[in-house]
Amino acid sequence: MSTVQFTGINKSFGTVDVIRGIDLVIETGEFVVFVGPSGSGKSTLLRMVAGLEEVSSGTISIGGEDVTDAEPSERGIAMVFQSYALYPHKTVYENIAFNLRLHKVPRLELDRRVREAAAILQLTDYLSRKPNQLSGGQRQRVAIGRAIVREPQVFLFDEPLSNLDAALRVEMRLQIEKLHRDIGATMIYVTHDQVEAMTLADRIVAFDDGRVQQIGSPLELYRKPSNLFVAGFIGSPRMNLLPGIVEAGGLVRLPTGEGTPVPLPAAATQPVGEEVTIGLRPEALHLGGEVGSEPALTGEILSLEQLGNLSYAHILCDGLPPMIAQLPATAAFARGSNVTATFSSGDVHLFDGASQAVDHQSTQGG
Amino acid sequence: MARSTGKHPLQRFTNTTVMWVILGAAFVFYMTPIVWLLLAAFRTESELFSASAFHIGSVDSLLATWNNLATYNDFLIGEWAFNSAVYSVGGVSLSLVAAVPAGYVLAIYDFPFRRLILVLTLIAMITPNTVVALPIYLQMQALGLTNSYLGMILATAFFPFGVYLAFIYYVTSLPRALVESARIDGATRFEVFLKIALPLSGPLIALVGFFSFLANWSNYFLAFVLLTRDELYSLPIGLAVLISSSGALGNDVASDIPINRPEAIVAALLVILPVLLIFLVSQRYVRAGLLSGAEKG
Repeated sequence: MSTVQFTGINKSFGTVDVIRGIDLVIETGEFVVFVGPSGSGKSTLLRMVAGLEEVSSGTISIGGEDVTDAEPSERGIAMVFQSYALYPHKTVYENIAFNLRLHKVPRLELDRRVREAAAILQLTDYLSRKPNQLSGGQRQRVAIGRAIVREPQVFLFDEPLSNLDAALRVEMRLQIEKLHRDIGATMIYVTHDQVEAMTLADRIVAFDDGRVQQIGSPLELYRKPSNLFVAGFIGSPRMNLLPGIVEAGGLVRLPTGEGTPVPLPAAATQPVGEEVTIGLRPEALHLGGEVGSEPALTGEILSLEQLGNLSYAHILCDGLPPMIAQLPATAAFARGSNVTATFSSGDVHLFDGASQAVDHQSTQGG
Repeated sequence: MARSTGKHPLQRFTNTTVMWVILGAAFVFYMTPIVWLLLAAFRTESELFSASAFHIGSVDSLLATWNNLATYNDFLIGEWAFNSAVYSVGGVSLSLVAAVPAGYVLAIYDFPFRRLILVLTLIAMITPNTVVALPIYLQMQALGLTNSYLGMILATAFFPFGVYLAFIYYVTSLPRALVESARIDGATRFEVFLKIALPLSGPLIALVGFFSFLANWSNYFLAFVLLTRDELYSLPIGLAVLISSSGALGNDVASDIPINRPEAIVAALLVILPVLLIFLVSQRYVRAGLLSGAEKG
């Protein structure tokens, strides 16, 4: 059993509340990713699990045991830091062995465990090196090795890949995912990189302003964002969010002269005159259609980003914030030309005046 | 080349020349007294007066001068040098043992009155030790520690500047994540200091040690107050007393002790020499790079 349970967690630094009333259960063996912008409280919460940050109120338990006030070393956790935090005066071997030495593990067992961890992370050839003789990726592997060797109940990762270049990041991401499959321990992973969140997580916990905004599988968050924050944060490029006003006949009028009103979802009960927000994913917009049976918006292409396998068009409609539409690579549109973007009313996300999602009809049972 | 820098070659030549002339003049101006002192050690009393400023004397006259100093009271200055070494090494060791952990704790942990302690450290640091010499004397007298090695060592081990240096070092150079990582690895607070922070403190120890040594070695006033028995004198006190009692720096010869100006000069060099040596040794450790590899980049 290595569940991690948060009950009514609050944290303030002086008069600033950084964590506000978090209740959350992380199951044994689960890979949970905390995402959110800087200052959202995700790292603070992780550091509370590690015992590096005091809890202002509430309790944290690991494996059913209350560890709210326990020493970091008594919690059965291991942590991988963004900055690696390797001991610069120790060799790779001694970095990995440090915890075992402190716990007076017999020499032969210590050697076996260090070499096992090194083998898993392909560090065997580097055991006698000092950290400053390693590349960034190797250093991060040592940091992970130092965590593995302790056989913890819970692994904590604090933005472990942020200091690596793009190619290495992908490689290390796969390695961490494989590690989770192989050892099956509970893992909590903090990142602001939503690609890491989407690809690694069993469940994502989206944070903003010290509160949990939504908990769910990566696809749930993508398909059914429960509020404007999650809608804007998950997905890259981000969801197009357009202001509108509910008018009679179950329609939303967008403040643009061009295009057609957007029908409200069937379940919506917004009163006429309420200010709402319409959300449209870039892939939900289809360029080059005609104003007809489907809702449509007309605007000018400001720029085109061609990525090879697909392209993004930045479109400006009068009175609306710029939008991004995803196009197949073969689509031929010129910068500066006027286009009509059509979309299915089923792809519309609607958020009420309080920024909460009204209905998630775009999902196909997801 | 000229086009790329936008300057005419002649102009660049002039600029370089001006720079070297200024640097050269400053070098000559500030080095002259030191060179004079070194050369003066090789001259006799009369040569000091009559010969030109940079007259090079002879090794023989240096040896004769040294002999005059050394034979004074059966090499009493040797005893003073030994005393100075004991006071300094004792003071340095004790101040390191106290200052380095104190600065570490102030830098890494938060606890009640931490800020107050920091402010008091700063105040103690800028207080000249001459103003507390009298209270220290009274304190040592009450404890019966005047005229003793222990008294001198205890008095000089108080080194708030070292605490401040250690504080700054750990705040700026020891990544917080290293401490946290070691705590998660299961190290106690003391083990984190002993096994992680201390091995990375070479530059700090060298620096605190050097400054502490410098302060103790050349400490005149406190020793002057605490020590009255000449066999316990430190080198600066002993030499000062010797030179003033022999009238070496007066115009008329006050006594028949053969201590004159050349002896005073050699004595001055004798006091400087260990400081130079300690500096050369310790500055090898004061270098960057010890912490590289702990964190990114």
